[in-house]
Amino acid sequence: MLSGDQVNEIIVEVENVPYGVQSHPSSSQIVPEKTLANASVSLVSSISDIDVTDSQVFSNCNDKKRKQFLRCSTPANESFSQTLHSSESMGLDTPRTSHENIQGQKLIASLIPMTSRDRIKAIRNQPRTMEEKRNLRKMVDKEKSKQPGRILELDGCAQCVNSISLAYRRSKNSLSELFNSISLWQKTLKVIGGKFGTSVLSYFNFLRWLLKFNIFLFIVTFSFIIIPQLTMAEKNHLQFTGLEFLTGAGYFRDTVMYYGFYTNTENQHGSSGTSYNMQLAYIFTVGACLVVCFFSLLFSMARYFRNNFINPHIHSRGIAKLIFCWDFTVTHKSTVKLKQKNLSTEIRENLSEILQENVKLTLNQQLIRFSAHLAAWVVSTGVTIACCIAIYYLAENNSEFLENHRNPGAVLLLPFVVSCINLVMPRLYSMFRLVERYEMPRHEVYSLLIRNILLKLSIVGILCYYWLNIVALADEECWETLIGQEIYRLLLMDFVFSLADSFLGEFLRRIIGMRLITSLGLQEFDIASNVLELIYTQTLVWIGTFFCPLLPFIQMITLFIMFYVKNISLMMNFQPLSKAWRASQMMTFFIFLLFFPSFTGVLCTLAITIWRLKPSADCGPFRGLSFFIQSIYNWIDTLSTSSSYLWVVWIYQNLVGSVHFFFILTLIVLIITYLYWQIIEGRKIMIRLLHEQIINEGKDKMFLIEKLIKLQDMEKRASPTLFTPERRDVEQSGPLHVREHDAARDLRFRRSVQEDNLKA
Amino acid sequence: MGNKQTVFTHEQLEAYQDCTFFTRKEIMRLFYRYQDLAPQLVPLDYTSYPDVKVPYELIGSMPELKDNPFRQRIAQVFSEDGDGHMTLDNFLDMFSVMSEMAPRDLKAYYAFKIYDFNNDDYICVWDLEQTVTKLTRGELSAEEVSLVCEKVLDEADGDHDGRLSLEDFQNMILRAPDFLSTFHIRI
Repeated sequence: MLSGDQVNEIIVEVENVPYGVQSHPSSSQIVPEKTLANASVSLVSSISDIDVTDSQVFSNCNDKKRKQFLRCSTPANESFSQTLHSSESMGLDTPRTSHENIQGQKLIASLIPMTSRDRIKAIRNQPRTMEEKRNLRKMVDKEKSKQPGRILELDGCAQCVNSISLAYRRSKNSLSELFNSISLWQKTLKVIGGKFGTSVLSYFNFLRWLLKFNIFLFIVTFSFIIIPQLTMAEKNHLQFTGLEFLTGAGYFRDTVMYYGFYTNTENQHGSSGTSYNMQLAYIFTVGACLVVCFFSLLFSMARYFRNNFINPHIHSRGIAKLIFCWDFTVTHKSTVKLKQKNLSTEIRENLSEILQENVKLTLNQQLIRFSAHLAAWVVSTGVTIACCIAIYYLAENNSEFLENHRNPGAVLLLPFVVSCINLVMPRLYSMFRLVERYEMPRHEVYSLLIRNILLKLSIVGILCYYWLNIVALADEECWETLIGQEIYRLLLMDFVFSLADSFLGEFLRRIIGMRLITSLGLQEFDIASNVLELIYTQTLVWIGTFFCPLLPFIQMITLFIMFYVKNISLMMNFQPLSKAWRASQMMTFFIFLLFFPSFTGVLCTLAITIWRLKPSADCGPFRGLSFFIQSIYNWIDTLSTSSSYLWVVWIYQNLVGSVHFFFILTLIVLIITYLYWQIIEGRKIMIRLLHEQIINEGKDKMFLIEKLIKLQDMEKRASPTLFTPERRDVEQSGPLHVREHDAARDLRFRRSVQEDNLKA
Repeated sequence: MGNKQTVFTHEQLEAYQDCTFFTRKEIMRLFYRYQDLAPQLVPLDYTSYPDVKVPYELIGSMPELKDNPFRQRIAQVFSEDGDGHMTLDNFLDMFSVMSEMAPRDLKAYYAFKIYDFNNDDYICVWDLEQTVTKLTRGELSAEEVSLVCEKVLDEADGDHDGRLSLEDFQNMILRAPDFLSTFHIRI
């Protein structure tokens, strides 16, 4: 009988051969082990203490004491884990101790040269138990301390860097603890997720994220614009009536709320020491806010794209996704039952879709469908344009209307109409569903979204056009304040409508669904329209911050209240979603929306304001200038006279103001983009080829297994006595008449036996 | 605030912090949750590395797990001996992997083990049938279940050997971006 070690070694050796002969892909898959470490070195000895007997090696994996390390293939960009996982790339039924020792040694060897941050990240990402990770960590530390020569090589600089990074990590940990302790609504979100699942949770997470934006905006504007202005405040002579909260006019006009109140008192205080250049502060604060928002959106979008963007080189129907993406956050018993029922329904639908997949539509049916789509799009676009024209007409005639009706509440007409349109039109669009038929439900969701987005952003666009082209040039007294007031009213009316919708509309719908027409049942939370609503209001806030610096504060309060209102309404009036809602893809899409039409539109609007428009002559910090941007020019001029700030002037003139610089920059960016695009194309081709290779090798494996089984059958029939006892043990443990899925394992056993033959 | 605790030594807490995705405070909070499951069993002093296992029945009665169709498999996968009885290490491990900070590959690895009911390192047809049955709670008929399993294998089995290996599973997870957010238990 072969001794344990020898058996181990044979199996190990053979194990490597099949993988070694495969042409392995460079990017992501397993890197096979070619060397055999000394099996007596047991570094990670605590991992398994099993006696390696033949039966245990070859038996089915029912032994609970065994820790089973599956191959972990990792994506190419995690190069460190590639090295780590390559050391685990052994097969399944190999003897534990020697392999794990090899693995452990390789792992530790790869962990030692890493920085401590990378090392901790690597240890955390290991699919091992806590005890193993702890031992690994201890081993690595011990090994590291055992290399004094190496440490002496690190000069003071590297040690300094090490200690700095350690301190940084500790502070980051305590900071994240702090953030988690003040993290809002953790428990509420857990309850929502438990009862409604991840998809509805994504809406509330989005709301929380926007709230963080607004908190940041508020803090910055408060510190740099509002507080300095408050110190130089003039007395407010207007009367306060309660109506100001609705109209934003009246008493509020002469407060820090609006642009018109701000003054540039630099000249006044010039002689007495400290002066505060409100012009520069205003522009730079708003600019800084926008820049931070820009980068934050960009990085969030990039992160979402990286995690969620799929490149389906194989069109997948999605049944596997339904099965394996069960929502583990759901903890409510009734929700779990409901989700199980819904899942069954969806699976049935999916199955019937698959069965009907090959049904092709006749030309006639295709034509009908196409014309239905076309008609729906024409109608929806037409309706959008009609709404925009109506709003423009109303806005234009608003001033005359206001003069005729002296009621101060009359200014609310325009916001009222806008909110009504925002309320009614989406319902109209969703009724198109009765006419249009889509092949995939995903297309339906997308087209509905696009129509709603077009509507909302057209409204914002037309209003901006009106404000910037008509109001600003109309020679009114303080047009910036007027725009600020308009935006305030829009936001307020929107808030009121949302509250009414939640309290009244959804409540009524529940009564109808539960009592009157019980077949309707409870409604489901419409995530898309709610998120679009948030995007719409956030767009308005971004535009309005320039004209009404207190707007982020108002939006903060609004969002805060909306969270609780929506939460209560959700718990009372809604049921969990019946269809799977692809939360991650949708979130990616929404953040992209927030960035691309919404934020860039805001940037364009503000850019036009600052570069093209003339500030009003009697109010605001920019009074007297011909353009808002003039303040920057004046500042540069004053700087160029003083000698210590000439570098700023140089930067301005040669980098910011120079066309050549931007031209060269654009050219470089375009070249880099083109190169990356080509790399992506190449990678796509490689993925396809690798996939084909996997399929081919699966076929090869099956073919070889069948052939080998046939050979063994023939040999066994020919001379059964030739088999030595140990091989019979092997055979008995791995019977020939295996089910097909054991055949692969047998391949290795057979080969090991043959190798043994060759050796002997 | 964290310096006053007497449950763990400083080194133990550091080790836990380095080996899981939790901060010190969260580890303490998790410890107290663990301790609440079996107050008589779990000592309040872990400095001597006591060997304490909370039985599966108590683990499975946690509010985060009690209605999950896979709670038994989760406990089995993360427990020491595969029987569902968990030590504190296993407990922390489980919630660390199921937290939102764990990377996709780690989650995919453990999800694969959870769905692999017979522990043979492949998700075969029988495993799939078990999964589907647990997910649909008897709503689907037997033919539908086997049809579903067949379709899943069609979609996900890359090397066409009739079962899903870890690579097939991970490949499929790559095409399901929701996996990261759904394979998540909040505690």
